[in-house]
Amino acid sequence: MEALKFLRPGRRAPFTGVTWPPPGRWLTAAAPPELCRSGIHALLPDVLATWAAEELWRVELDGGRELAPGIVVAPRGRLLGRVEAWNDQAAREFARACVAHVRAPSGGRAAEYAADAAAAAGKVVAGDSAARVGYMAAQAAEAAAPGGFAAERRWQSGWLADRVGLLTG
Amino acid sequence: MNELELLGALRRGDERAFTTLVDLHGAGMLRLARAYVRDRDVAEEVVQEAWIGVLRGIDRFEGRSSLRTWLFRIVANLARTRAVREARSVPLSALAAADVEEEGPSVPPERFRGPEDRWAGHWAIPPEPWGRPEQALLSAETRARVAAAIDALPGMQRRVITLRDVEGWSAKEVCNVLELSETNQRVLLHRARTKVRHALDEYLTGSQDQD
Amino acid sequence: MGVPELTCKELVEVITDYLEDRMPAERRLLFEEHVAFCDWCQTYLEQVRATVRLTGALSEDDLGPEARAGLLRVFRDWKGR
Repeated sequence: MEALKFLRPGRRAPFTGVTWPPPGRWLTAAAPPELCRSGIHALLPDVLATWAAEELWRVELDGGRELAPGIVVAPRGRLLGRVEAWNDQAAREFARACVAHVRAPSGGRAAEYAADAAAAAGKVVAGDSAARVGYMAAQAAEAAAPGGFAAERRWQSGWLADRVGLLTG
Repeated sequence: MNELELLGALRRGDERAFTTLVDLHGAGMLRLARAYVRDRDVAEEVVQEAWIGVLRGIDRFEGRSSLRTWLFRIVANLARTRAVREARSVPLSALAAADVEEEGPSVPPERFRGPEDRWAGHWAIPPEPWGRPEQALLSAETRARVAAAIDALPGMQRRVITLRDVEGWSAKEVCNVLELSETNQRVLLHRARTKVRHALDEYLTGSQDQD
Repeated sequence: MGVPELTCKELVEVITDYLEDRMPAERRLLFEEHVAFCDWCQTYLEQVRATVRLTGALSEDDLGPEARAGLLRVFRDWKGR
């Protein structure tokens, strides 16, 4: 199955520090798939925002199963190609979009979170720093209404997927 | 030679088997002894006593644990006894400071935003990146700092980090030798690593936390 | 906050549980969701890992020649018993 993966610069996996082989070569996990413990992990478009990092890749998983909402795990996987549309510029636009979406003219705690997100958005330089803005904006949504965080994350992921051309064709 | 063969050869009085074992484990045994008694000369005496104990007990070793675990348990037991004996001549106040396993958070609470803050629990003073390539980190000076930081740890934390991270043993083996539960071993390892990271951080970033 | 999450303060306390793989999957997920956006905790995690690597690179306390000779004497005494 096809899925997506965010990596640090140089194809480095964010949690294990493992460097992925170049596209086409399979990476096999040392142990059977277990959520966040072992196996090759990848993302479905609806959770993209939570995991934003510098590089976005299309991946192919051999035998992937969804072990948590939006997270698929397989015994092996390989990179297919870089989603070039996810770059520093897109990250800055993402950050601005997240902020605009939770702007709260009415004040209160939600407005404070939104203002923090806006301040952070001004400092975004790459995919990695955009991630914090997304988080802060989602907290603003939660402050405005319980359950807002999850809904905001879904909206952010949708925006991101659309912006980098994942939702077309 | 594998462990079983080494054991057999040693029982037959094979000197090469003995020196092989010494080369394999001697440095680690000394490090463990020093994690109890600190003084290098005393630690060397402990290790020598341990080898005597090993040779005397070699026929009785049943192989229920690995040879290595058995060797190091002998060292730990002797070192513990020796440490108590040495401590009797040390002023009580120094003892108390050295070995109290303290409670409380690993990182000073002031480093995080307080409970009234809307970002409660987030870093208030975030860690500064060390910004150094791995090669530079492995310099002799930095390693000396790490060694000093380990040396300054309270006893049990020092022993756990020595066996786990310096010697590279598994959690299970360390629990066996030091007679710790898995949870206790992890707590001690956590505190030790946190302190060593902190010492490294102060050295590499030139910062000082208010204590 | 109503959102299930790990704060930075909680994270530094459980970081060894994470590295030792002694955390249930749901908590690992929360841990990683936090690290995903929090560059500060990423830095902290990398520093703990670097500390462990550095600690593993220590290799002093090798046996000196006199100590080794002393052990050989011990062995020969025992053998001749």
